[in-house]
Amino acid sequence: MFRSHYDSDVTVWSPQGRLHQVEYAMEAVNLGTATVALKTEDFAVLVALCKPSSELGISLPKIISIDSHVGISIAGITADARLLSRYLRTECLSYKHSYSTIYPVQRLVTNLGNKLQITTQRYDRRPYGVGMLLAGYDEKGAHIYQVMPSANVLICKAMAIGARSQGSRTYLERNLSEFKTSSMHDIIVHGIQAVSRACPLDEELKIAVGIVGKDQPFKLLSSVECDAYLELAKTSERHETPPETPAETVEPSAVPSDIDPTSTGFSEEI
Amino acid sequence: MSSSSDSEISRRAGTDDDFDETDIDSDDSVSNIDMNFNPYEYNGGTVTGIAGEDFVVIACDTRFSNEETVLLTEHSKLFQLLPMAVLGSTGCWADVLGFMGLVKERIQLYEQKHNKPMTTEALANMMMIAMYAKRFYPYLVLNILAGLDANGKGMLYTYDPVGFFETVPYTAAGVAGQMLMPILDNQVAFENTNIPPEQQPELTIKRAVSITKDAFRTASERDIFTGDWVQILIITKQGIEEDSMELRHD
Repeated sequence: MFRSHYDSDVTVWSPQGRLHQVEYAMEAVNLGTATVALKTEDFAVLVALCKPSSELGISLPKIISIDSHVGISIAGITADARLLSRYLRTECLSYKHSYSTIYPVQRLVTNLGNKLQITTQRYDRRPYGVGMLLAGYDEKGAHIYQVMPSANVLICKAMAIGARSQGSRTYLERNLSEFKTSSMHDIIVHGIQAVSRACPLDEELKIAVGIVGKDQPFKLLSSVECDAYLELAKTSERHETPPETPAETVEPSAVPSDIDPTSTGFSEEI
Repeated sequence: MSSSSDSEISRRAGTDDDFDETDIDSDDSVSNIDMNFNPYEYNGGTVTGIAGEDFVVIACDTRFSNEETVLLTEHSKLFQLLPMAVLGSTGCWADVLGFMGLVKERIQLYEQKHNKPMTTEALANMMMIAMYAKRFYPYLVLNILAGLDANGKGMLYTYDPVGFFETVPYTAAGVAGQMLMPILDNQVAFENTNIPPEQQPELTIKRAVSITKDAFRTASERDIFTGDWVQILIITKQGIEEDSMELRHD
């Protein structure tokens, strides 16, 4: 994306029919570390690559629980993600309070999409700079949704977003047929394999895993459990990272982790 | 009054403005305000609690009534809010449900924000704040919170409708609450008795449950709004056990 005359405002169309500001916002997602979502018949799994922005810190939370049946994984501006996760949480709580049942996942993401769309059509607001993968389980089964700053909400069988995620997406495409009938353990292993494609080979693989499904409220796996799955994943083959396409090439020294301009960390009161 | 202010009154009758003093004496466009409307209904019920060293026993009767008649006979007034905390609530049932909804929301929010389970002490304090927020139009709820604190010690908190709370070793709330307090004073704390300390039996779970059952049987004899069944929950580190006893159904 190069500077053009039509990119100063989100309310300005280009002659080609594009909203450049929205497209620039989508680039913010690629600055976050990779995260992957996939599902079986009964479970939806989120796996995220955790890389701190500097050696002095720890990585910011990538996977956030929203309710007992929904969790999200984010890539992009963490501050925006914090706001959106607070919004999703209060929406779910409010629905549960009013109707005594969980918020159907499809309606929740549509609600979120509508909220995001407002920011793409107002001169005084900017699009949220965070992409998210939403994993949910309700009476219609397991769901994966991708929500982008453009307010597009996509239903996915599996998806990867973030820096260098093209390799992960290729892995997911190649193994898609296996996912539906996988066991819970196998699908987590697939997720780890997929996300490892986005991690340079010389770096240690640090991950976070979230799982939700039948008789399984949303749960973030502990570090002990994550290590156990990492071991399990090592026993399967790990391929060389495929060559990156020119658009994806990012200098290793550029910050390939979630943007946190204020560095206040996630543990503060949202 | 002029015709323009007549139409203004009619329009305002559907808003919160219709409790304005000046409307009451005006013409029949606002005659549908019922000045005898009581927002609270009294649904009866009694709850008791006895706390021991490492346990709490909380019990309720299961009669649900309004002032005229018994509506339900198997209606529990105990809510398990945390793995080791149970709330017993009587009073106006609509307010109990409304308050419960609020408390459940706050618990979930707390656990999501802090990433750890809520403690009984935190819950007790949070309930006070939630109730005081409605200081000038209170929840007509008489609460007893029973639970184990972070060290496994039995804790019992008693509340008034606007949020005052304190830790007590035993308590009774609800329609027969005032009737049962002297019994608990006598049997749990041995107040006003001549039994010397060395002869006072230890407060075990068995004794606490036995006192509770006796208390409810006594209350159901004298108080018309208490009866049917007693539901007893015994909270220990191992979990929550349930016991029950049938009372007179009259």
